[in-house]
Amino acid sequence: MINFFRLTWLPALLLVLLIVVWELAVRAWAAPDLIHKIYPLPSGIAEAMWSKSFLLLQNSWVTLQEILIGLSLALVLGFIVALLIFYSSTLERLLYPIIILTQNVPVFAIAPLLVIWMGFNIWPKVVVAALIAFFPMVVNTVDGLRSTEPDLIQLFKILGADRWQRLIHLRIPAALPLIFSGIKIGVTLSVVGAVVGEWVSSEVGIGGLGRLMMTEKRLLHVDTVFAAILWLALLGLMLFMAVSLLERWALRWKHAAEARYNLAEAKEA
Amino acid sequence: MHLNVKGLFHCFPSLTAAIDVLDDVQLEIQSGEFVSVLGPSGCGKSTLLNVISGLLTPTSGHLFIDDVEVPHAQSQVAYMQQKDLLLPWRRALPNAMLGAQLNKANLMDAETEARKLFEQFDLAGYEQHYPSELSGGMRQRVALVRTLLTHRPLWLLDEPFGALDALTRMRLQDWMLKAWENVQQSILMVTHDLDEALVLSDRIYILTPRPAHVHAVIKVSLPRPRDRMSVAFTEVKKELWDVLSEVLSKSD
Ligand SMILES: Nc1ncnc2c1ncn2[C@@H]1O[C@H](COP(=O)(O)OP(=O)(O)OP(=O)(O)O)[C@@H](O)[C@H]1O
Ligand SMILES: [Mg+2]
Repeated sequence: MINFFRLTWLPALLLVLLIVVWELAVRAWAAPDLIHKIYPLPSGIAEAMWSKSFLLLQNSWVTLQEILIGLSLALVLGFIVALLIFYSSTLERLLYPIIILTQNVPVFAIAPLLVIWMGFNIWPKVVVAALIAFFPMVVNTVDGLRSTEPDLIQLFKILGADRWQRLIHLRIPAALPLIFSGIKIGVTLSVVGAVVGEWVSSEVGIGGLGRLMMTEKRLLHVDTVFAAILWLALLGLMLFMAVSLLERWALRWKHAAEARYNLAEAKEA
Repeated sequence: MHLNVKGLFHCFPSLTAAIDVLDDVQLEIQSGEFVSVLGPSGCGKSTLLNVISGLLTPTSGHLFIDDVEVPHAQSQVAYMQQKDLLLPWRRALPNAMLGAQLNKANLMDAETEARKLFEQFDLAGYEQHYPSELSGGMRQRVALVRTLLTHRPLWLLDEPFGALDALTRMRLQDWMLKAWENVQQSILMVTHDLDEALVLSDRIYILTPRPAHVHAVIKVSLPRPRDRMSVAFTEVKKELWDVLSEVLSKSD
């Protein structure tokens, strides 16, 4: 905790300083009738966070759902595709180029089409979030499955394990560290994906934080736009921290191994 | 189980020149016999065990189990490799039970047995430690428990006590002797320790430097338990020592 405090007080101080400078600068130089409309003011953002908290919360919940469903889809499908690629070199040659290709098509280009195909509902955004998180999941899982030590594979042979047992008791546990870094990259990307999906979908009702940003911008409520951005950042941070906690628990054996050499505290000097 | 190895050759392909490791190795383990293998470091002992256990296909040679030729003895051997190879994500007890689990043995029985062996091998209290939290000697003992729990008729042990201090080593040797006398296990053990070979074995194979060839087989007919300090013991040790120095001097 002391460590945490020591690590956070400096960036926190810097942040407060930046906010103060921002507030003063806008008040000093911006045309008064454009403040809150085009130039956001920190105090205005705080006010919007408070007065529009219900609206922000409602929209955050929608965006969170999109992210969670999209991420889960990417996780499950990514894992299955990774297994297919790992076990069949034919499928590897077939699937890998397609996956890399989809990765190079910008989501901005596909998102409007998805809306046309699937309608003004949650699904086009879920699909965009899933698409964007899919790639790191597949690549990391494949690399993870390939990272098993040959000596341990020999051990499993000696003990008479079959293919299935080797996968469950050896390959997947050995792949977990890389799978988790895939999920962490995927989480951050899927937040972006969901918002991109919301931008291109113009529906009535609660359309998520991305949609809220667009409508509030049109109404020249730039403070609310920034409040939505803040919420989005918090959402992303919370998801990332949740995955990190899960990782810490699932890979607790790694922390035990690091503690052997004081690595947990020392890091790379 | 009776294992017979005949005319075993092995050579590792390499970029420059092929490396000959096993050169016409003949070896036999009678049912219920305790056999040790001694030989200089790098001569091919681990390679020999890898071939018997089926991890490595030899260049040529024949393996017989109870006079039937087999490609390898994988399903018959409990092989403890030179490295402990514990799974870093499993705690000590589940690591020790890995073989039993993979062979779909009754896990309750396996656990009872594993706990008993932990007790006997001074591992009690460390059941829930990760391998990285154990010392080298402790890891080796966990690997030994894992090997024993597979209940195969032939034990292949590659320096099973290499990482242990003299006292613990002697205690485990005594334990192994008792275990072996109780179940009349066939055992093939690689060791670098003359005393260990002499205390335990019926016969000792002495291998030449690489490529390994059986230089001599010494029969130890002292009654068990053997007193390491007795005159008879020292005499056999002297004989063994002479043969070994002969082998080593030939390598120059
Ligand atoms: N995969 C390989 N490719 C090439 N050479 C190898 C390979 N594996 C082992 N060797 C060589 O074969 C020889 C015998 O190795 P092995 O591990 O069997 O020795 P060892 O008798 O068990 O030695 P030690 O007592 O040190 O454990 C060594 O010279 C080693 O360099
Ligand atoms: Mg060896």
